[in-house]
Amino acid sequence: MKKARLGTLLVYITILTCACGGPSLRYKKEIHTLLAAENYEAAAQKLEEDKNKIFSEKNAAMYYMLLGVTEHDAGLAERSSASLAKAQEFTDFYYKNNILQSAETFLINDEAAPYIAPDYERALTYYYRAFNFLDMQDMAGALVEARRAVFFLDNRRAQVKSKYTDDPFVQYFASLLFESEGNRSSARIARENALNAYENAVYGADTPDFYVPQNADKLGEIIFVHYNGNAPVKISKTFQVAWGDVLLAINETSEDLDSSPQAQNSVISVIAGDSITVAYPALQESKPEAVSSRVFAAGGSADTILASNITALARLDLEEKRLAQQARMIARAAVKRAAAVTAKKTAEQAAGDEAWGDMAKMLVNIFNTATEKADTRSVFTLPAEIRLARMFVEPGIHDIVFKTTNAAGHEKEEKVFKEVKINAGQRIWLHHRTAR
Amino acid sequence: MKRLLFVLTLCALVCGCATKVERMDVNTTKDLSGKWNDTDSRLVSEEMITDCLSAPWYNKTLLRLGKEPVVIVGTVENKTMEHINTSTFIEDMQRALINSTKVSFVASSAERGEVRTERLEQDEFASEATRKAFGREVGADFMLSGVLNSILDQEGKKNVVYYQVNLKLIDIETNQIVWNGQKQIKKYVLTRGKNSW
Repeated sequence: MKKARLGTLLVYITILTCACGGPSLRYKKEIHTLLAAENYEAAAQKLEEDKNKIFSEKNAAMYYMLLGVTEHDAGLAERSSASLAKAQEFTDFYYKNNILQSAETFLINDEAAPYIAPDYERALTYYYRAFNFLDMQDMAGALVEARRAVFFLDNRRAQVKSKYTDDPFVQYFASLLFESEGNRSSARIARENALNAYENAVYGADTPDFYVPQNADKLGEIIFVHYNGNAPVKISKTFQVAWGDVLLAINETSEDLDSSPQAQNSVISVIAGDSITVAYPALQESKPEAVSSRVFAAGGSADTILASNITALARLDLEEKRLAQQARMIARAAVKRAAAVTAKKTAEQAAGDEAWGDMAKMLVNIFNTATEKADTRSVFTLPAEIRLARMFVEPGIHDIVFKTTNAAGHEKEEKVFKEVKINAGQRIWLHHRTAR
Repeated sequence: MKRLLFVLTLCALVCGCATKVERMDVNTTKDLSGKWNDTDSRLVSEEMITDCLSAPWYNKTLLRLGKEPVVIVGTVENKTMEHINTSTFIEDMQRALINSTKVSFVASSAERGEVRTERLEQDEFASEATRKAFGREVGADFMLSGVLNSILDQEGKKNVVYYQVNLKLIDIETNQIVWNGQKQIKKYVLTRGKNSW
């Protein structure tokens, strides 16, 4: 019996020491700094270099999404599409095999489970891949992704209960692609789904109401996508609870750039003694510098609208997962408490000395608190928002100028797309990222 | 004995990590992901072309023209939810048509462009005896084109994929559809594994 207990304890400690989480807040900020400098290629390169150092296979879906989005911003359409294909593959695998509720999430922390992308991130993989195919002049490939996106959204609407009932932007983009194909029926359905979803305030986005002139077929159209800012990053917040008749919160800490939550917790566990640390995720948002943007071409201009509010989607996702996270948090606290008590008893019986028992309990407490961290994984290379403009111009060769404006009304950034040829009835698809 | 066991274990470990490659017969059916693959492409093209060439339009045309009809393969649109390289399917159909020896076949518009450029260059650089003349191309009588559709039904790891290939043979002079063929494939796919990261 004594041997079995000791064995269980050793296995537990081994699992704890082997646990591997997602990237730290410092790492996320490093990537954001490269994005803010519009050095997307360097950001993609850094992610690739750190693949095996920072990430592990259970985070494959997140890794390939982070990479795919960055490669898309860098204009590396083919590479981005390949990365996002892998992201979709891993997401599908882990989603279908439903590994989220693995035992490790109760023993260690939520990051011990494979990364299952939230539905809004999954929907965006189809969008990003579709745009990559457009960048590669492959409309057929883009349409495949549009069909997959619509299929995914329809299926999840039927199966999942969530406030995120649809993705208005992804549906709207799919409708544009179906329109370009001449598939009016699918375009109409996707457009209706998009407009219905836009009415829902949870998405925090503007309903598109673009002006389409009567002679649109004789004009060329510019579809401009502006990726603005950086999506919020998730940080780990922890609190210590004293064990007694009731759980009592005695201290609260938050992840910052200089110290990991695990390190803070380890120190506290020694000081606080008979307490258990539990962690929960929170969002750290950063407002994009640009509050509006505008596209200029052929003597005219068009404002972009807020087509997808990724910050709002991240908030919604976190809110909806909170109950399940809290349940796991409580279960984990109980398991960790039991492990500490077991360690104390085992050591006391083995050594015949209470001091050894206390020492063992303290060590297990340190292990427990050191591994207690909230699931802070997310695709943090996504923008905070996706803005969209549609503009009709006379056929010909045009310089397309894109400008952003800050809250004070000052123009902040300008990007010129030189000599873009637009034929009558043709759509030009452009995208640009500003990550400050 | 212990040393032998150690060596064998080591060998097994080393061999287990190595990439294994084996040549396969191109006609072997091997389904991995359950997606549209080379076997589907080959089987559909062969069956549909056989069906096409045994349809009534063929004998009627033979009587009308007094010679084998000339066919060109147009586009096959991919309207599925998979990234399918339709050019391999088009090539498979071309091969099936040519091998039937029942029709003559002309190059596609992209191939014709290349041949025309070559003829232009011959006009300038080739000897009189070997130079090929303009205006002697054979015009196609019929165009074969089609659509690849799919319906996916999914529940967890279980997928049922239904492919429907529709091909049409159109009389280029009259726009009449002289043959309309359809072939369906239904697959039950149980997804299990994932690739290495």
